[in-house]
Amino acid sequence: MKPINPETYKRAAVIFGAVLVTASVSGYFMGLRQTGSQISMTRTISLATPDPGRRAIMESNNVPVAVAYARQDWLRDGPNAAWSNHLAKLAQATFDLTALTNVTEAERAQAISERTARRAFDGAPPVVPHPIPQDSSFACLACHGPGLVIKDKVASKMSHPPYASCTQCHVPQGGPELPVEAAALLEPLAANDFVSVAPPQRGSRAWPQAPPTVPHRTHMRDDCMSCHGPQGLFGLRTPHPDRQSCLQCHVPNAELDQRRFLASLPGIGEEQSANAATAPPQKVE
Amino acid sequence: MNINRQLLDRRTFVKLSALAAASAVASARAGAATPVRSPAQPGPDDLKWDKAPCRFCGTGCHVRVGVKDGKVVAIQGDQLAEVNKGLLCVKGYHVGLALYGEDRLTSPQLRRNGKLERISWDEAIEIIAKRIMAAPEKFALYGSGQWTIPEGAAGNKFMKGGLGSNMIDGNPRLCMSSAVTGYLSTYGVDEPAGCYDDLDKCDVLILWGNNMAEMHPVLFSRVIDRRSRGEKVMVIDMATRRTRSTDFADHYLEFRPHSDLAIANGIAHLLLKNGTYNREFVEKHCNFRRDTATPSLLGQPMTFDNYRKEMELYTPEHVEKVSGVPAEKIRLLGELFGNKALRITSTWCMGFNQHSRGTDINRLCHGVHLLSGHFGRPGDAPTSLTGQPSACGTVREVGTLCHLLPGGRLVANAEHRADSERFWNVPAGRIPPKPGYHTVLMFEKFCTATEQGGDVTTLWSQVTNPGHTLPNLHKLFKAKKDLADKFLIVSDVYPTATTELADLILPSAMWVEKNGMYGNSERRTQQWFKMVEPPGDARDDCWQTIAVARKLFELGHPGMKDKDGKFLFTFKDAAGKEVPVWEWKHYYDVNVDEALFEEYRLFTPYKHKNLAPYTEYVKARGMRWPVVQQADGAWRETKFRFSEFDDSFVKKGAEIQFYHSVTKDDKALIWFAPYVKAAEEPDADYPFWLCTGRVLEHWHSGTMTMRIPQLSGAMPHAYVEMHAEDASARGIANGETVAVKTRRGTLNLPVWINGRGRPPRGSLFIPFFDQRLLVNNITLGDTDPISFQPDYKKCAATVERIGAAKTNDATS
Repeated sequence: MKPINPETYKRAAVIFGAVLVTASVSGYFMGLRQTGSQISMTRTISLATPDPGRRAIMESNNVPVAVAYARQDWLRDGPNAAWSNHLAKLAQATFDLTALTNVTEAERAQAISERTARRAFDGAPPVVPHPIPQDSSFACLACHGPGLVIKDKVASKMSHPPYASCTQCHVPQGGPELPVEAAALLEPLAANDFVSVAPPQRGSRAWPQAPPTVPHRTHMRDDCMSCHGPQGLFGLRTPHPDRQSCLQCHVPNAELDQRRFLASLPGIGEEQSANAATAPPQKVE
Repeated sequence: MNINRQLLDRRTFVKLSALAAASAVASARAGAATPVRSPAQPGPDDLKWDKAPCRFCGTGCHVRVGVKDGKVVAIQGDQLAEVNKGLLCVKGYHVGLALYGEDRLTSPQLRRNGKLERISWDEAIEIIAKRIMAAPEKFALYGSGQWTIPEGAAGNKFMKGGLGSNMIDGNPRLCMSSAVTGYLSTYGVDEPAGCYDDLDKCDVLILWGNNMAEMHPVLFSRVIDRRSRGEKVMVIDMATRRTRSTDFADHYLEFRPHSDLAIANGIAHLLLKNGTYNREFVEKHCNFRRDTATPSLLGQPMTFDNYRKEMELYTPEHVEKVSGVPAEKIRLLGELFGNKALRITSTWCMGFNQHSRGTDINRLCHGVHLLSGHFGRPGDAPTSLTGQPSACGTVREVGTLCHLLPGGRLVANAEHRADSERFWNVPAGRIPPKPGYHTVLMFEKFCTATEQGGDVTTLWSQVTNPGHTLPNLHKLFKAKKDLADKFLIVSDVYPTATTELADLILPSAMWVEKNGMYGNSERRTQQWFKMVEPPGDARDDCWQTIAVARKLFELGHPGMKDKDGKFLFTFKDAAGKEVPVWEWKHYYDVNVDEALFEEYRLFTPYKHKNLAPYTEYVKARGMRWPVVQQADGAWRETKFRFSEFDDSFVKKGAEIQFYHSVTKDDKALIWFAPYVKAAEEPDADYPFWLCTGRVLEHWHSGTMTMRIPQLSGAMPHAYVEMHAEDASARGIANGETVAVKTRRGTLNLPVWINGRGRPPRGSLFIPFFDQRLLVNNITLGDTDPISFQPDYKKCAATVERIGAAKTNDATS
């Protein structure tokens, strides 16, 4: 047996040390990147059916074995295939602005029904379809500030940026996420017979190719692209997102926007008898 | 469509009648009639939109109500409303759904042999009238800050001007009365000097135990949305637990419950010590005062030197010891108040008011603002917020409390009684000089056997839910169950914890199912018209009162006649013909609201709370009193009371004038009140503080909001918040059901750790909205000695692990 060269020991020790340092540094940063909210979101993702290769490993030994990174292809194709925690990357619109076609009636109906399901009536703030941090509004803006799309999931862009207290109007539909056995004992107080008005349909067109008018209120819908842009529900997206100035062609309605009610402000439109003689005749509707 | 047409016709008819009545009254009183709005027009969405104040809190947002086929189908924030400028909170956006819970009460029901049976309105009215007739002095009316102004005016006149009884109180006793005594003892007149405009102007907003982000969300966003526009506003959250308001705060000052008294004194100490108090303001506009040995509303005078001496104790270090707030943070408050260039607005709500020293802490907060001169300029104001939509309008202003008469008058004052008898046109001496029972005493008497001195035997509750919201419910409500001769009448819209013990249930119309007027936290009086029909046989509360009065008149009760022998509630139509409004089919033949309001309006100039004619409120999104008629006939509201630049009642050149000064010298009072311990503090057996309160999604006892799926879905049940370390020390897991025990009972409910709010170690919080998990079974009934308002925010409790859920056994 050849005696082992002490140099080999040294080299091995250096390599081992380098690997150790690399592993701990990268592990440290991996850990940093996984924030508390991601941990709680991943909690609900089921890993009950790992790929056959992994299951074989698990079954061949009695204890589960950590899978080498090299063998984790299943993660890339699994339920989290689209997962990324690079927000900037997620927020990028992935479609070609010039290659869009009109959505079909069915897609539009689908989008409207999805929209309707989250609101008591058109104009009511939509409820939140996912759990939220109960004590803070700031997390909302991480996704809904810029808006983002992951495959067919849409976190719509906030359409009324001056308002900062999101949870004042938007409440989650799950309630507190508590494993509450007590809740099961509690009968709900009563159902509600409220009947909401139908969601707005298409805007009116003067002739078939004319730009449709805006069929809904625009108050707090400052950014048309929140719903009609690339980050809106598919069936509501505009066929021409390259055009930026929406209201140039699509006009909102004064009645829906409460602008006619200016006449009921004190001092406006009333008691003008002094000027009545000189005022031009008003067109009666 | 047919229904639509009919409604329109009826509405037009109602409006024309209203218009006619308005003209009649207005021409008699003001000399000019200014009718009215154009009727609601169908819009392009085929909905008819009309304005109304929101049904829920005291913020007083205006909503637009969309009606189709006789039903409310949509709600919008009203962009013309100054209060909310088109924004609402999640409750406001869903307020229309409050009408349509499937278990609305639709017919009168009488309990016979323990079972509720449907009866007719005629029978119900007769039963009430006969019980009152048999023992009028043992009858009590319990009203509400959700009463409309005309409903309160009718109830007050019926009791004090009709039955000659002061046995009427309202639920604002449980929420606002310490704010009232605070204003009265400081300025000599109730309600804030400033208004919401202060929120647009302040540099610093101090939340004194006030979770504004959840309780007054629209006002909170009015402040913090200024930041989105690039403005700077510092928010200081003084609280006993972290909440959503803390999320937006620059400084979070967590204090030991009840030690707010010491913090306020700590600020005064620093202002005096550093010489940064506003000497000129204090010399010109303030006197000093302290309490008498037995607490009283007006106390006794003290000198500035004595005041200074009393404040010597409250060094930042001493305050830190008492309150747990670091001395440097107390110094920060001292510096802010000492900086005359800043505009500082303080807001508070139940943290101050539901306090066994509620009057004192209100006084101290006003005192800090007066001492520092942070008063009377836009953005410089101490302003209380209200929880109910018309606690101010209906209860504080109309005076539906046992010691008050309308317009800031007192039953104990002979002159005030004479005024009221004159305005009501009832014989002199009708109103007794002795105040009736305040809320807690009223229910204590009602729940005590008659032979043991329980001298309230019939109690009528309207538009409120005392079986849920009174403290210490076993003693103050549930004890009624075993007393055969006690009779509880409840007018409400849904089955509640109160109707569970009711002997007679009356179904009421609510919100836009009737005409109404509210008065919000900033002195703003608001009006709306009926827009939809109430369901089934439900009828207006005001009609119910008038119908009972009429039945008593027919039975020969002498009090139901005025000085001229006419029925107390006689209303005439445009042609001068009397309308039998006590018959439901004729109730809307005239605008009863307008007639009652115009009568009540006569009371208001005495304390400079002048109101405009009804027709002016029809046109406006509310107006803030005093509303003063100008030379050109226009009606002008007042935003900043006591300030010369805005309040026309202030003498020219005075700058600030407290014209209802207690000391009659146009000066306000700066009070000294010491820090004292809470009525019940944690000890070895009950080591936790227990605090109760609201959550964003639910309004008060949840009878409306728990029936709105979007709201109950977001917050389906009550819970107890506790600190993770406290839970860990007891082996309690998140979501586990625990028993919360106080000396008054036990409540089993789930724990929520790091949830909506985060109490510090040693503190618990339970929201009170859930009638199935009723925290008021275990709260304390002790009251402030001056306002008689109970402390719901502090009592001693303990938490025990019980492992599995059990049914609640809340025994005393």
